[in-house]
Amino acid sequence: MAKPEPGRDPEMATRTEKLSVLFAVTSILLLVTFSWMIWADYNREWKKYQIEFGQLEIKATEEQRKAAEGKIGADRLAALGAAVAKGDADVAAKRSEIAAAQKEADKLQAEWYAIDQNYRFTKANIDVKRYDYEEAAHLGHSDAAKKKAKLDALEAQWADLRTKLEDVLARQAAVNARIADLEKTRLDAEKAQKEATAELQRLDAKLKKDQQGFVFKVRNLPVLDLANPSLKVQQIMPASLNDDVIFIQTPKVDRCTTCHLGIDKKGYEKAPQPFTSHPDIDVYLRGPHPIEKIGCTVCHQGRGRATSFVNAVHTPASKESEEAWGKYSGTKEYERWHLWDQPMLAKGHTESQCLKCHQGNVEVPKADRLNAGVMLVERYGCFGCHKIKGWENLRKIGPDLTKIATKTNEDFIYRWIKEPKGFRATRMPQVWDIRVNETADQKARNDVEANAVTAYIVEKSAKDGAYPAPPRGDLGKGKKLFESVGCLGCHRIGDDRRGVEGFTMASFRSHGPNLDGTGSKVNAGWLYSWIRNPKGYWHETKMPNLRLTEGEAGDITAYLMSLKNDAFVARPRPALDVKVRDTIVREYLTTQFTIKDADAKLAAMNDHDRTQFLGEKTIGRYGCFGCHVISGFEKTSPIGVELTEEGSKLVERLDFGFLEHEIPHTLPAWVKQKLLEPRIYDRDKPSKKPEELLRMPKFHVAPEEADAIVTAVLSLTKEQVPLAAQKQLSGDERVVEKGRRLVRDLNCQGCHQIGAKGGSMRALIADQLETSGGDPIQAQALSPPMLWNEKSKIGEGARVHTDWLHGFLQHPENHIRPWLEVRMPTFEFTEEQTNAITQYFAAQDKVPYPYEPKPVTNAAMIAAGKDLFGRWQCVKCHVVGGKLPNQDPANMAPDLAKVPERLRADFLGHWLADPGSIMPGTRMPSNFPENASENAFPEILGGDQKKQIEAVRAYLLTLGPKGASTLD
Amino acid sequence: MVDALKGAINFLTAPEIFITLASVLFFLSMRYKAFWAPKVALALGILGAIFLAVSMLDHNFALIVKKPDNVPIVAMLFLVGFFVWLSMHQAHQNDERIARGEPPNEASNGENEKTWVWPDLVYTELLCMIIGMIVLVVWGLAFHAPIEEAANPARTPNPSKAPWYFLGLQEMLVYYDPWLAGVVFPSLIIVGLMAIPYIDMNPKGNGYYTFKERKVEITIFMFGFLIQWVLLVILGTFLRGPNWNFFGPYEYWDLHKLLALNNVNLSEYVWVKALGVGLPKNMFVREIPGILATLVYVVVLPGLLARTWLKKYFEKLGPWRYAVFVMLLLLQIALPIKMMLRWLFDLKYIVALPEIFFNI
Repeated sequence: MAKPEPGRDPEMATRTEKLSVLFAVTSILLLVTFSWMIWADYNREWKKYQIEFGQLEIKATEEQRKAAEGKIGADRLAALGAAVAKGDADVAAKRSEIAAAQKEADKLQAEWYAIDQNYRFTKANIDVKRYDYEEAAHLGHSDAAKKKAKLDALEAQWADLRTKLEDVLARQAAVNARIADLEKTRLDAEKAQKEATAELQRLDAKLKKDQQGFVFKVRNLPVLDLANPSLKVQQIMPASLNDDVIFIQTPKVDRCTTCHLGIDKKGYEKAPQPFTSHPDIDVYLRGPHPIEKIGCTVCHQGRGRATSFVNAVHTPASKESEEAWGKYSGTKEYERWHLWDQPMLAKGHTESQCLKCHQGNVEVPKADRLNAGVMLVERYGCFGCHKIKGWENLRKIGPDLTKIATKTNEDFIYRWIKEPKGFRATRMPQVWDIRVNETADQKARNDVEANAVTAYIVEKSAKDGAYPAPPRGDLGKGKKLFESVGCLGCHRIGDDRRGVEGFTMASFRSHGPNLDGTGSKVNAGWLYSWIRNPKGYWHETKMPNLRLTEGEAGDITAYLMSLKNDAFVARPRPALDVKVRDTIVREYLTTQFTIKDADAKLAAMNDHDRTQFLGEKTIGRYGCFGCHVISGFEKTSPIGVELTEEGSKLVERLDFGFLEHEIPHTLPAWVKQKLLEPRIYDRDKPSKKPEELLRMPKFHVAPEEADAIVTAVLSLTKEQVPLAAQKQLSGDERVVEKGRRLVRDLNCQGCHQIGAKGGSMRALIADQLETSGGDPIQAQALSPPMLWNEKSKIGEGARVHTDWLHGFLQHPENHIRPWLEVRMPTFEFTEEQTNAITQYFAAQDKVPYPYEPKPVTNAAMIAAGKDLFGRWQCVKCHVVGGKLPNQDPANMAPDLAKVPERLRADFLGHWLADPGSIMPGTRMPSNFPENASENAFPEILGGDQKKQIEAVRAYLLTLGPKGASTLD
Repeated sequence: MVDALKGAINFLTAPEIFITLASVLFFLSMRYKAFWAPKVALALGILGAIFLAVSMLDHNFALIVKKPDNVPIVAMLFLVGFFVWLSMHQAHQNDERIARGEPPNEASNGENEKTWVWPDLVYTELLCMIIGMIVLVVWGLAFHAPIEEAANPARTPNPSKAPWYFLGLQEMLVYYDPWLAGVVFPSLIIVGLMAIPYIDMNPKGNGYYTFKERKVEITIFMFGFLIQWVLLVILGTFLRGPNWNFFGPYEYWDLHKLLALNNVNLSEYVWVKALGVGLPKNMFVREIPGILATLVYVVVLPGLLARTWLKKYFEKLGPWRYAVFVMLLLLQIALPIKMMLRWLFDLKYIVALPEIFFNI
């Protein structure tokens, strides 16, 4: 059989043909897939948005153009056009003359070109020859002199050329001036038109640039767009900010503006997303937080490098967005990308990131939710159980329990710890009976545990020194005094929300406990002694001393003891179930000892010991000592999880229990649920052993409160912003923040308004005036003073001498308005605190601290001042040297004899000019108008505002302690 | 009903049952050639496709199978099935032709030394390149070349899986010390594959498919490939979930599922359970049972086999070749043996010398 010849074998030929067909088919398929690939690479989500925004922008520009045109007016435009036409005609008339001049100019141009080139080339040659000569001279070559001659010759030539060049330039200038003169009318008309329509031309240029016509389409075609497309990814590279990608920090690159095109432009407030303007452009994209420096993701989180909705890890804030966003992830409900550790923060939580850069601030300006959250963390004392860096070694927020037995009784303690909220609105959380699906067995254990804790606390408490019965007081008088002397600046009774803004628990009036039912809680002797001297019972208390007399204290005691909650006191208190107690005691013992030893130990304990043992163990388990000083727990470490980096906790680290599919699988959702129902992650796990159950008590926070706390928790991030990118407090700012810390801790704003916040007392007084039929406008005059006016930036620091303020803080009984019912309490400040406060006020007002220069005066000024003082009848309202004017207290004004020692001279000037701008609502009239013609006494110092004020001030500063001028 | 069926399948896919059943099925298919008839194969292929399609209705099943990483493995299963069938089918056909006295199909045109290269082979290769490129591009476009989160030593993925082609090796780690499963066995697989042409001197089957003429060789290789490699890849891909726990195909991959791994070493069986004395202090004395068993397996057994079952091979291959062959064979079988021991007796290690980092 002959071997088949390749190519001639018919079988092979048919096979090759078949392969060719296959080749054709696969080649076409390959072309299709390649086209698909190019299209997939080209067809990006963001391009759609850029085209759409381009159209929006054209529309906006057209509108702007119309407005600009309207502003100039059609008549003016026509006139400008006519002027140009006239200029054209004028030029046409002089055509031949201009042409001749132009010809001359062209000739001169050619001449200039040749000379200028020669001039520049000669200069280059000079540099070469100079080098040659210097080199030869340095090396001592014999031809140095020859080289020098050459150089000199060139220099001379160059000087000659320069003369020629200057000559040509002069002639050129002359010809050009002649041409300009000939064309003057036209040039002037054109200039005028250009100036008037500059805005129009700018907008026209922009419109031309933005048109999405043929050029736009070709530039952005697939493949061609590699050259210079107009649709392109926009990015911001903020300085010194990094993304933490675990092994390294990579510089942040934020491409958010690729789609969010209107974010930094005003006028798109109502445009649909992603084009909407930022809600506060001036603060967050310009001004203190320029977008080109800080970008987007340092505040909003998410993946800055992403250019698609899903990859940027957008987070929905509501169920509705979750459903509406399904289209982006291609699912029914939006599914958030889980491959980035810092998902974008849902609307509202963004404030949590402020603290990364604004450290050391008591409050971050404008971050209301964060501030409220931080305040709640302080108020609820989260740091008692959870270690948080920066919150260590703070005073425990609950009262000291080492003397509790002298304050209240055992039955009350039991009922109270069992359900604090059942008695009154309180910060104390509930430890027992709050498990989800609590069993009867667990309930029985709860009763036993609470009983044991009560027994333990009472046993450890000092019991000696029972308080004597207080003097008999008048209930009515006590109520009136309680409501007017200032107690209500820090305390509330029942659901009183007067003067409360935002969350009740974060308000100034929740600084101290709600006093509802006090009569059912404490014994009268204790209460009397407490309000007379709070620090006597508990040296760390924040409650100041109101300097109540025995009678006053007796009255207030009578009133507070009349506030009862009988239903609560009547609640049953089950007796301690010994069997259950022993079971629990044995559980504790067996975890510590062998079973045999545990049983032996249990047997060795008597009834009392067992209860005490259980009480101690229970307090240890639930961490009561995180908030209270309890004997035996002075050095125990807190029971909670450390929260220092909680905001960066990975969601994988959280135990969602069986709620996995019920709440969003996110950190904020988990924390919120935990706050609302702390033990819920134990749900459906009935086989958990008692020691394995969750222990966090329930604070009964409202969902909105929980949201604020979540924001505060999210601010505890491990992300480190480089120092260079952080806000650095100046020396003065640091002093101010230190003062603000004290102001916050002592709740000064319960009575005083400082900035926009505080002054709850004023709202209360206004309310009291209203209900008693008085005029609420008088409230300002009867309230504690405003200590800082945010608008005029003038406050206590600018107002009073440091020395006076220092003395006043030490001895507030030396007040300047003795007729007020409300009292500045004695805080028993340390010298350090007094200094901090005085310096704080001075730094806040940017006035000299502690001394200030004295104004220059002369006798004539003082005399004029005295004259004005008399004419304006200042003493009609002002106390002088302790002598009260014949006025209603609301109209009385501070003692003028105290002015020299109290008020700063600079302040007096501002105050006399416009008191209302410093203390809104003050009764002090504004007597010195700016306009001299309106002055009541134009004959004095020519009615000049400044001079008159200086004169009055000069006179006031001479007043002695009796009120008479020391110069008289 | 559906739940019961799913439960049954979940039960049957537990590794011990799954691998045992598959092995039995494998040997049956080698024994009975009716299994490779086109109709049977087609029916099996269609059944497999239906099973997949119906199972996709199950959320948990779909979740795993639709994972972009796993899609090509599903495709691979069908491809492996098809090509194994194709070769076995042709082998059986050739066997029939040879029995009838005809040349094998590949040599039916009377040519058994040469094949067409130009343009036939080169052309075919070009076509393969084009088709390969189309598949890769479409694959990349369809699944967006999935990339995962930034690597984080504080958060390793659970389950942490090797690339799919190494999942068989990873499955071996369940039964063997990392030293053996991760280093020695993989090296031996490569060495063994390289050694095949030097051990297998049988000239029959060169250039054509046949089963009858190479029964043992094909069975050993196919067992290694199908059961010990592909099947373990399937197991690792679809049935191993968080914490490397086993999950049935319809089971939810619950992170919190717990399995007790109460395995004990051979030494404990001997000293503690059988003899009732404590473990000897000296580690070598303690591990004597395991060491002996291992020595018997690798030293005594080859000699014994040379005189009995493998006598034919010993004579055909000569002592050296036989020695290499039998060692490779024994090591290959060591894996199923250890698996069986684990499943039946909870045996952890035969020789456990953690003191010197050596376990078998």
